Amino acid sequence: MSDLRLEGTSKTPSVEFTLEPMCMTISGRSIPENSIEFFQPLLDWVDSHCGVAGKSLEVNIRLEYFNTSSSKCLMDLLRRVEASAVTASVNWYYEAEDEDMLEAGEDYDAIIELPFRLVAM
Amino acid sequence: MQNEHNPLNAGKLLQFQGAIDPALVHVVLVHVERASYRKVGDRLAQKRVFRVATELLQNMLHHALPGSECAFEVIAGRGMWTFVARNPVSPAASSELRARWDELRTTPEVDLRQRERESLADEMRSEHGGGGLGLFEILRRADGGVQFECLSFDNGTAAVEFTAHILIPHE
Repeated sequence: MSDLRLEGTSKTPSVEFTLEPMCMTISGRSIPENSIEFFQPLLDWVDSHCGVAGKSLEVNIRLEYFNTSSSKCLMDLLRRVEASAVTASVNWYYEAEDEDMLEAGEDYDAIIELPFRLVAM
Repeated sequence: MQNEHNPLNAGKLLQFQGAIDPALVHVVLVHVERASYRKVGDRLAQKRVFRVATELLQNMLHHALPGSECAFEVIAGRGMWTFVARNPVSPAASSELRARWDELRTTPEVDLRQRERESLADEMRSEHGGGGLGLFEILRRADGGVQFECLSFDNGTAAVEFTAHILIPHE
């Protein structure tokens, strides 16, 4: 496994996970009927590449919409990063008018023990 | 599927009745989103329209009895959009949902947010990846209020109906 790149669709986000620099970016919308299926390769990538202590990882979440099934899978993904050996930080981007997405970011920040930056766009 | 161009359906953006599947959910969401871009100026309200429609339709898709007749209606009124979603469920599922609904609808907003956060943190998952978050999302994003009805029929079947209102500011 190396970089993971998935093109976004009307239901699924675009994904760009790279090793150099080590960065995970998810953007667009995530509203698939079955989120587990979509997120599994993303979880597998973390398992395969985040085992080296001392490496830095930047996680960028830039979602316009996500359904509640995706919100659980996103939680799984962030937990997997949190439990890994890398030194990670999260940038949560939201539209300035979108207080719902800001709230969602605050919720993840409250649950996940990673440096979390909420960024209005 | 009826649509807004029929003069007999003033304000009614769309309505369908029948079995639901992922392709139909997709078509309806595309229609709702495009209409919200045309009719709703406020960006947050626009996004709430799409969020609530998504949760109601996917909830229906996951929980309606297979092949059963579901109904979905969108009314784009002045200052408010209303969604009505109805689907048959087993009597047991109807009772469970009623109990959960009764508990959540009396919970103050600040506690509701805390409960939603706890559910998000909980590692429980449903078959499709969710974990009971859909009701929170519908309740919290439908800022004009939500009504819920359990319908029982003489033949022993049951159905549930959600009516969710989204406020549209500046209209």
